[in-house]
Amino acid sequence: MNIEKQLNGNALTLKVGGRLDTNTAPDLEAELKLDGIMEVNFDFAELEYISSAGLRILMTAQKAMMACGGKMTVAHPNPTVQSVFDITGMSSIFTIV
Amino acid sequence: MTSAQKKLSWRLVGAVAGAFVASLFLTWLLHEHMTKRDMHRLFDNVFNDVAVDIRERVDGRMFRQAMALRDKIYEMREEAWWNDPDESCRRLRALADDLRVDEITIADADGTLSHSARRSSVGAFNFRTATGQAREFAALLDDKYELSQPLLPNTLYGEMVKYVGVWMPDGGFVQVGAQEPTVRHLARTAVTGLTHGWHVTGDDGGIYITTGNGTIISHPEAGHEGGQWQDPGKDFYCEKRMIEGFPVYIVIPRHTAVVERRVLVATSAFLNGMALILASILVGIVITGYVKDHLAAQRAKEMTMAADIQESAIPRTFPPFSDERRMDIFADMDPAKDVGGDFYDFFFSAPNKFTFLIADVSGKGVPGALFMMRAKASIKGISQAGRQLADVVAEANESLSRDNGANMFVTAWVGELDLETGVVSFVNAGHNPPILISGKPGADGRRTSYLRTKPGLVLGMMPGMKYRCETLQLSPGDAIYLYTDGITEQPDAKNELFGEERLESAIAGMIANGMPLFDGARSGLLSAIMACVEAHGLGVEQADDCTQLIIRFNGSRRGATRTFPPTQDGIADASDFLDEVMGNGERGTVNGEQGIGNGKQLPQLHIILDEICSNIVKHSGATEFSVEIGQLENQDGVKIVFSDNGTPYDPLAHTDPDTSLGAAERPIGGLGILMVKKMSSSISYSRTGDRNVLTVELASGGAGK
Repeated sequence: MNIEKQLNGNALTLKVGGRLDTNTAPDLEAELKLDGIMEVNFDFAELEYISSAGLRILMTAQKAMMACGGKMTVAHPNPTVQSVFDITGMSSIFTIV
Repeated sequence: MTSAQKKLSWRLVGAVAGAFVASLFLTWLLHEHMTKRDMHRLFDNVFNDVAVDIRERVDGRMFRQAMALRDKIYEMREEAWWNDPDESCRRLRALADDLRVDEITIADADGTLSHSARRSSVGAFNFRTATGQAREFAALLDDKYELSQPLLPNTLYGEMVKYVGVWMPDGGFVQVGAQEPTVRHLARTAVTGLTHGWHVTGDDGGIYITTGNGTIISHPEAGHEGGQWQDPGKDFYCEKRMIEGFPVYIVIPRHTAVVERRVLVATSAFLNGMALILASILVGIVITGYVKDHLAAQRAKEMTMAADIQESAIPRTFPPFSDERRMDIFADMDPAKDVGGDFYDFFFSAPNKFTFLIADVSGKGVPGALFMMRAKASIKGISQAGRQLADVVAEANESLSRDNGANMFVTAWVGELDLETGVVSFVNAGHNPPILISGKPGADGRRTSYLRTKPGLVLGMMPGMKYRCETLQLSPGDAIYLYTDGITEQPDAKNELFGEERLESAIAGMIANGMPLFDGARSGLLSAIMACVEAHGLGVEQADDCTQLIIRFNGSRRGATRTFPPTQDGIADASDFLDEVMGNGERGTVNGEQGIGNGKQLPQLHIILDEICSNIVKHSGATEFSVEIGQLENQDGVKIVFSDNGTPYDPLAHTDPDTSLGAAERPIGGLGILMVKKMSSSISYSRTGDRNVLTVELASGGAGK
């Protein structure tokens, strides 16, 4: 998995490539420092798949944004990732752009 | 011994005893006869000796009278009356009375009987021409000086008379004759005491001489004369003969003869007895030999029969299922001289479930072989009825424990290999631990280890036993080697057994030297092990049947299985394994073949793998888990089987989380299984032995539901 992090003021953009699963989730979790962040954008254009370990991080981020009145978007999920969102009902929770 | 053999031996004993008795009787008869004959010979000899002595004395006495007569004749023939027959006859009669003889006869130089005490005899004949007794005396006219005769019928009158004669120097001779009483009277003194100290044989027996009225005049012991003769009774042999008018008795104690005979008969009986004993021993040897041969032949026949049963009962065709590539199996049995009742068997108990077993029956011969057939049939029958392995073995035990009068039993190791997952369930009923050969050939090296579990009781011994089923995950290439105790208990010349340690190191050594487990349908390993056992037992007879079986799991079709530790790294390795199997990794091949699947399912498969593995790692408490990836039959789909030895847990038994809840209410857990369920085209859970087995299938089109 590779992560490209871009901080623009209080908006954080993370380009995540490769696989987001049990093995790689802790790495993403380490990169995701949400103190003072009001906007989180995940770019999943390069993401092969995501497992529940990745969903857990997305959920954590989503709840944090909701708590501070910020927002979170998920961009360019491939069909696999999209199907995971659909299956788990995340499609209705995340803002997919 | 059969009744015919008993009859035969009794007959032989009877014949020998009969021969013994008959020969004893014949010996007795023979000795009786010979003893009597010998005694008569002895008596004859003794009588002859006694007769010679008595005659000498009697003759001596009568010659004295004859010579006295001759002296008188010299004077008398000068008398005038000599030529007067009547007068001379009268005078000679008076002389005969003086001389105490009965007859006086005088022959002239011509041989004519010229004078006699009997008037009628004078001139009656000439001695030269006489007949009968008288003729012999003519010798006195020619060349003899004296002549004596025993008592004989005389020529003229036929009376029994003993004559003795002496010659006359100027021609003719004189004769005196005495009849029996006269002889006795004359010679009594001469014969008295003749037989003192004279024994018949050795110190036994005696000779008695009596007078006409039975007065003893000669007794074996001096001073006993004068008594009256009495028959000595039945304790003595006694024979009488008249010698010179004297009754002579020879007496010997019967026991002298009888003892002699008894000794002879006893000696003969002893020899016969020895012969009987020898004959009995010979008969015994013959009968024993006969019975031994008979029994040996019977036993050999029974052994052949048992061996035939045993041989017919075990499968000998390899490979048994030529289109089955998920495993290889080979087995061999090397029967000992005495059939030991080993057997092995293998069969499909259900589709994809391959049962294999090895067993050793305690009994030998035909009963052992029949028990073996029962054991084999019941294990196979119950297995194919679709029972769990532990129940199969327990039921087989019930069946074998019933009606087991001979108290035979069988040790068995029964395994059931799931050809899709590589999981081996097994039950050990008192059998030797098998050897697991695991790891890949090559740099890592294969490992051998005994598959030791606490064995259950042998089958057939006690009903109501429960058996424990263990499980073991085989990776493709892993093999299990089964054997019977004929292998490990083969003694060498010093009675040291081959043993488990030698067995394992022999196998490890062969593998290290690059010996393949299988070459074609056969396994050279088994013959190599057998060669080791034979080399160990060189010069010692093979102790027991040597039976071996080896089974190798090759992986489910075009798939692979691997075992991982329950850690984060284990999950990462499993993920790499998935890539590898799916043809996505660097190697891109499994078992030398192209990867499976069409590549489209790979992300879903990774998600599924990640979810299930992380569940196992986090929650199951397993010490290892295995992942088997294979291709679905008949379609281009993929199947993953997860197996772990953790606590029983069915992930499908839980209700799915509510995915319609908002983010704030949504629980984090439970989503993983939900994703797996939704993505897979089929998912099932089973608890197999002590393992959780979750099978997930993904059809060719990717996410199913």
